[in-house]
Formats: sequence, C-alpha cells, structure tokens
Amino acid sequence: MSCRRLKSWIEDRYDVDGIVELSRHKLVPVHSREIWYYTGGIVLFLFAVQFLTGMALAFYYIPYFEKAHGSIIEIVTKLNMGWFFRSLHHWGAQAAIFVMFVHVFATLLLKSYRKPRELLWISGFCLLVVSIFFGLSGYFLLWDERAFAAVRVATGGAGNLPLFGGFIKAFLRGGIDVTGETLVRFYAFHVSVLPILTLAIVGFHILLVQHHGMSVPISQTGKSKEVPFFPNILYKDLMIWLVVLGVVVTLATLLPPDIAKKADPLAPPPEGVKPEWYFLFLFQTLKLFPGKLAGMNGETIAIVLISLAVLFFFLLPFFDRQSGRGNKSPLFTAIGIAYLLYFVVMTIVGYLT
Amino acid sequence: MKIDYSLVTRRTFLNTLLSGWLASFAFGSFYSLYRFAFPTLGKEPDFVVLNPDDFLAIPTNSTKPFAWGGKVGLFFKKADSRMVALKGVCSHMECNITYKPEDRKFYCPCHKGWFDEEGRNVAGPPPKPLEFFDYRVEDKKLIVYRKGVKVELPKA
Amino acid sequence: MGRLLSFIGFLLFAPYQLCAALKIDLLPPSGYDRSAIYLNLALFWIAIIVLIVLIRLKLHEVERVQTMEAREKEEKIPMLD
Repeated sequence: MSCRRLKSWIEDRYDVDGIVELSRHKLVPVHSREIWYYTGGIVLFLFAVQFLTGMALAFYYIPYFEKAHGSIIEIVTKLNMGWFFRSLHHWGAQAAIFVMFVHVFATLLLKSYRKPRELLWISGFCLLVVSIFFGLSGYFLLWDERAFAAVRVATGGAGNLPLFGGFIKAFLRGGIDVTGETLVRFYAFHVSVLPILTLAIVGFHILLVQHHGMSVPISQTGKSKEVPFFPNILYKDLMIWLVVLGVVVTLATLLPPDIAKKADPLAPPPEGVKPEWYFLFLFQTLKLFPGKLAGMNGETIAIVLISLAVLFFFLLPFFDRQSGRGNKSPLFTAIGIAYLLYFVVMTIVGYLT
Repeated sequence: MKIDYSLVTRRTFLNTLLSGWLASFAFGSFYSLYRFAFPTLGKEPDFVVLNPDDFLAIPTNSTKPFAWGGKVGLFFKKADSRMVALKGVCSHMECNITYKPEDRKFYCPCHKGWFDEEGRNVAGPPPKPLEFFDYRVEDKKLIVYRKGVKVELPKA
Repeated sequence: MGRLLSFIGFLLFAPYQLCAALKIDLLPPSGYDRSAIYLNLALFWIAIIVLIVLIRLKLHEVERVQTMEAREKEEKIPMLD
C-alpha cells in the first residue's frame, strides 16, 4: 500500500519514532478547572481562521483611499461568497478578541502567570496589544464614516500618552492628520507587520507552553491526574474548535456586517459614533474624569492613571510574590476580579450610553 | 450469508469513517474558499460591440485596436481598402503584435515573428496563422464576432 | 446509505449551490435566496455535529484502549511472594 511506502520513505530519513515518543510524553492535568485550558487553543484556531479569510480578502481589497470603500462593496456584491468571507472575517475578529479576553482573565484569576511562567504572561500581553491593533487597523480599512472617526479618536487618544504620545500618534497616522497615507500604513500593519509579529510571538508563547506544561491552579495542586495530549486532548480541542467554527459561521451568515458611507475627511463624524466594543472601557473611563481636577487637566490625569493600571497589569507576575511561592494569594485574586469587573462593567456602560 | 468474523476491525472502521468525513468536510469548506479566491477563470467573449464610426474610416494600410475581452483585437484596413478584424495576439506565446505598414506585415517583437496581410505565419517561431473574426454593422452598431458564432443582440 | 451519500453530496455541492444562488443576488436578505442560505447553514451544522459525534466515538475508543493497557500493566506487575 502506498501509505506504507510513504511512511518508510519518511522513516528512513527522519526520526519519526523519536518525535512520536516525545509527543507521547506531553501530558495535560485533569481537574475541575481544566475547561479553561481550552481557551488558548480556541484563540489560536480563530486566528487561523482570520489568517485564511484575511488572505482571501486581500486578493480583492484595494488600499487606496479613493478605491477602498468601493472595493469592499465589490467584494460583498460581485464575488462568489464574497459577503460570506467578509462577514466571517468580521465575526472571526470579534470572536477572537472576545475569547482572547476570556483567556487573559482566566489566566489572571487562575494565576497561571506565576513563577515559572512569567514570560508567558509577558508574551501574552504583547499578543493582546497586537490583537487590539489588528482590530483597529482592520476596522479602519473600511474607510467609512464610522471607522474614520474611530481611528481619528483612537490615534488622537494615543497622542495624549505621556512621553511617547506625540511620536506614537505621528507614527500611526503617517503624518499630522488621518489621511489616505494612514490607510496605506494601516494596511501594511494589518497584512504584513502584525501577522509576522503575531507568528513570532505566538510561536514563542506556544513553545513556552510546551516547555513548562500546563499550569495547575494552586487550589488543585496534588489533586489532578494526567492525561496524554495526543490524542485525547487533541480530540477534545478539535470538537471544541468545530463548535466554535459553527458558531462563528452562524453569526457570519445570519448577521452580516454593514458598511457606512464613504469617509469624508472634512465632514464631521456621524451621530452617536462609538469605537469598537473592546475600546469602550477605555473611553468610558475617560468620560468619568471631569475636565479639570485639582487644577490639572482631567484627561491627562485619566490617561496617566490608565497607563499605570495597564503597566501594573503587564508586570503582575513580578508583583505577586505569594503565588510565585506556590501559596494562595487572595489579594491578587481580589485585584484580578477587580480588573475583570471594571472591564465588564465599563464595557457594558459604554455600550448602553 | 452471515459470517462469523468481522471484515474490518473496529479501529479501521472508526478511522475510515472519521477521516472520510473530516476530508469531505474540509473539502466542502475549502471549496467555497477556492471559489472565492479564484473567480471567473476568464473566457474570451464570443462577440464584442463597437462604434462603427470609430473603425470604418481609418486610413488604408493601418490598424486600430479594440478590446476583445482582456486581449487586444485589431481592425485592419488593407492597401486595397478591404477591412478585416483579427485577434492582435501572436500564435506563439500570446504577445501583442504590431502592424508594420512599410513591410505590409504583422510583427511580434517578443521572438521576432512575422505574419503577412492574410495572417499567415511567414517568418520566426509562430507555429500557426493569426485568428480572424467576422464583423457586420447592424443598426449603428459594429459587431465583431468569432467565426461561426451566431450573435443575437438583446433588444435594449 | 443513500441518505449518507446524499448528505455527502449536499456537503460537496452546497457551496456551489450557495454561489449559484448568490451570483444573481447580493446580500442575504432578499426573497427566495434566503432559504438556500438557511438550508446550507442547517446542513453545515449537521455536518459539524456528525463530525463531533465521530470524534467522540474515536476518543472513547482510545480511552477504552488506554484503560485496558493500564489494567494489563497493573496485572503484569511481578509480585514477590
């Protein structure tokens, strides 16, 4: 049988048995919190879907500001299944960022970031930033009224960051204001810079997971038995990914996204324009602060506070000494819950107002 | 006829079922992606409609190009004022040909192929003659069509 | 068996169906085209569910073999009598 001959051809040249032996040793703990282990894999799967649909869309999208909006309408109306793949790309993005937040907060509350996995948290945080930028740059490519206004606000907001703000704003915008050059720049980010960064950081992230194995929550240490990854957990992964695929395809089919009017740089933004949902908590926070607080510009204070909170979040593994020693760390559990609640509440409030 | 043993093992049965279904699922899913990524693998048109005023009054011993799908077609007025339409594409490797009025031949610059006024390949690598079209004028429209094709214009 | 084949056939040709229906029309909300989309969505879900069931069968089989091997290893442990 040709399968056997192919197998022996490969085995003559490469140490297949060695790889199989190695993979047999990959074990995954089983305990009551194991469901959270699957969130990372789901994000990976959704990113793969995004890469595929994104590559397909890139065959037809035109990143020139006169033609961008029109090219999307062409994709959606003239091509076989064009509306579907654009819709799938849109919903895939929403799902990927949503599950990524679930993954972030799960690892936060289960304290998977503790020693020896600090670098996983750091690389994961970088991936979060990359994904949010993916979302922002992708949204801008529509070149419609809403996206234009959203990016103007987002880059303008980035400009208010202490120290680097002005530089970041100019770098992102490709100039003083949001123009057609910003579109080309964001396109380059979205299809070239960010994908390569993602591949590199995800590769590193997954490599570390292979090296360290899955983290067992402190409350479950000693209570878990282990199960081989190949094929047990892989099959479970596949089943979950199929369900996720079904959900995203259903959303894409039943709720295709629309596109607003073509952007006019000189026109005012449309009524009630809001950023994408994953930015809402930031903007809601900005709204909380009055114009002037204790004699200083309220917005600057807000931005400084947000930056500090984000920085603390980023460096969390190095602050949480208790869990680093393998002890329960209720203070940081409380901090984690506080972050989660703040994020959820602010997002909901931002959505409703 | 009942047999005492099973023809396939449980493992083979399950593996075949699973991989077979997985393969058809993947095929079906990626087929739609394929249809999206590779759209109409373009055909040449059977006919094109042009404006007669643009083409019938060209000087003798000259050509005028027109669009034939994605390729170029040429209207050619010979020295004896007879008009013909042909596909301006070399039969060798599909480069666009050009008419040299002083030689009264068509020339392909890619590999230096030559065709005479009747489209016969006379020098260079081209293996076949040029393709000619028929044309007719029908209520203010110049219809250029492939030989043998029946053209029915919709009553717009 | 016939139904299985027609399911597979549907799966293979469903995208084609979808493309054909959509070539004449634009976005989903419009008249009779919508039924083609819902039908294809339902078929897609059925395909996924069948796939999940098959994977679960395979998983249970693998686990059955693993526990069997574990039990055999337990029984083979030489005892010092």
